[in-house]
Amino acid sequence: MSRPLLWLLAQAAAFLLALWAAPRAEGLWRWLFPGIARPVWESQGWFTLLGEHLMLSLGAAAIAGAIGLGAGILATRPGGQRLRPLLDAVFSLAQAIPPVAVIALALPLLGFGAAPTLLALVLYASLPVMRGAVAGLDAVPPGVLDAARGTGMGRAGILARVELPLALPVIQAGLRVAVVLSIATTAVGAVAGAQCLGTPIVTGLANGNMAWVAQGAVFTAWLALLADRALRLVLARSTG
Amino acid sequence: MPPRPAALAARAAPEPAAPPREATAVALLAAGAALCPFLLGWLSLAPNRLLSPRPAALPMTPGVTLGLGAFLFACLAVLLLARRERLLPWAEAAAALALTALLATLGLGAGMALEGVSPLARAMPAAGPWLAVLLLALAAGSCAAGRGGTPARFLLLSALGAAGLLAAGLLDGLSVVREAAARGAEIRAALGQHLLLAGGALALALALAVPLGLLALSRPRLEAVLMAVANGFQVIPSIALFGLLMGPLAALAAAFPGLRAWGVGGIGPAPAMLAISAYLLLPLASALLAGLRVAGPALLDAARGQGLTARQTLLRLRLPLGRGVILGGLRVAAVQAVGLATLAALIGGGGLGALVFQGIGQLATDLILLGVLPVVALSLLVDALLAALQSALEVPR
Repeated sequence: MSRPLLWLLAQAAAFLLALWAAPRAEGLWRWLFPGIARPVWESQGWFTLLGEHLMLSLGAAAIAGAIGLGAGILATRPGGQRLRPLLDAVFSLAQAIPPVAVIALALPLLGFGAAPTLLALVLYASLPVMRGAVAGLDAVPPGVLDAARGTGMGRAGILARVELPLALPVIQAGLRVAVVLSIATTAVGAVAGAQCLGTPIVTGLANGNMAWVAQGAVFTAWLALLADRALRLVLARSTG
Repeated sequence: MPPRPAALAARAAPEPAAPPREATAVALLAAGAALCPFLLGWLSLAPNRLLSPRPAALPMTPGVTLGLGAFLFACLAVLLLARRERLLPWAEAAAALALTALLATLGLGAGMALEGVSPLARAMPAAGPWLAVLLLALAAGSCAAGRGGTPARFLLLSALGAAGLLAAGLLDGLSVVREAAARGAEIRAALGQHLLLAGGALALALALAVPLGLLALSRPRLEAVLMAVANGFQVIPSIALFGLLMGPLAALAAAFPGLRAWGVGGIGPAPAMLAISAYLLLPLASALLAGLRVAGPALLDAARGQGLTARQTLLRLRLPLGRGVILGGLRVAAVQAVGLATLAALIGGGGLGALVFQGIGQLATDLILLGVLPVVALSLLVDALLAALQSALEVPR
């Protein structure tokens, strides 16, 4: 095994160990936050929160990946060029509306829980995938396509065996952004009642318990950094 | 009598110009916008502020019918105008007209529906008009896609239309307008705090990114560190960064009580501003470096040959050539700052997010809207202003 991979595994192990140790390290939290009566987060297990967080964000990223890739392929077909202006409009509108606004607006319609967050996650995570797919498929040189057509390949064959493999690095970069984005946005979903690593932050802020806020913040940030590093490593291997 | 060949040829000769590639998307969006209030309902009525609303019919008074007719006519106009390339800006304006007519229809309808019911009753748009607004905005955005992507004309005309309807009192029946009237001072204060948070964070990030970016221009190792740090911040979820900064700042304020007078503490605008500015480092620094490198090595060589100092090269060559790219980064950062400032309310930083989170706590749609609508309007405004400035300063190449 290569050194970066070992290093990543060690970091993941340290993360899981810290999650296991957090409820057991009462002394540490009391020393760090002397003024707080109940500094240990005990409402839910940390592993439950981690599981929920990953399920929500990875599930949303998978849905968003399918939508984004589909739309990207559609927009680069000869007949789909007409979709381009709409995609551009969606991109510039999405930039102006922060994800928390979408979560807040969906809340009265969908109720408290994971649903408003899932909607915002799918909407925002599909954009980078779509952008990556369009950019990657656009960049396939026309000469290559001509040559493939010359060998008698059909449209589906060209897409599956020529265009997608050539566009893969850009599509994967889009997917990485989508996964990191949805892990980050899931944490914001805690304000709408989604169970995730952001829950201790929001609960702590509501109760003035800085110890819960700090624990939730450390683990949320740690998970995001870990996921980013893991994806970079995996993608570098598959394309390198 | 069979037509003469000459007449046939004359009729076929003026080949109609092919519709632009925007036509299909705009037509679908405009048709969807016209249809969806009919499919998903126009109005909802709630017995009071807290009970959940039920769908209600649109009362067809002459005023409402006129507004409805104008809305449908404007949607048709969007569809038809978008079929000619040079009429696309007019299609964008027609979308703004459709939005204004939709608002007028809803305002008049809500006023009529509330007549003779309890004064506590509230009328609000159902799902249909909201979706129609979204589709109209996308239609206008599609019209503008070929010209840089910001439908400035649509935004300006819609804002004027909505302001005119508000001033005329036509929208007073809608519950969100009533809520706004009841909380006028609160909303103005929140808007001021929001601008202060976003502007302060942008200033702070500029104060860091500009000197560091200039230094990093000729120092690859500093550039690598700067970019790694700026990229790292992007990965950390904003809510976690807000939380992480609270502890150290609270400890700092406890150790040096004098700092409290400066607003430094675990809770309040200081940690929020600091956290927001961390996210702005990447767009600002990367655009600054890319912009300063627009001037290629050959040009820089020539400048050195002419005896220009590094400072003169920067001011006369690098900045003028790269100002479009640099402004692009400023645009992205400013829009992000407005959006991120919404979360500041979580840690007591105030701003429009305070209304949003209060609304989430009470599950009060009007309150959420009063927070979200100004945020969206503000970021669209900032984006459109900086986009206009950018295209005015862009160096034609």
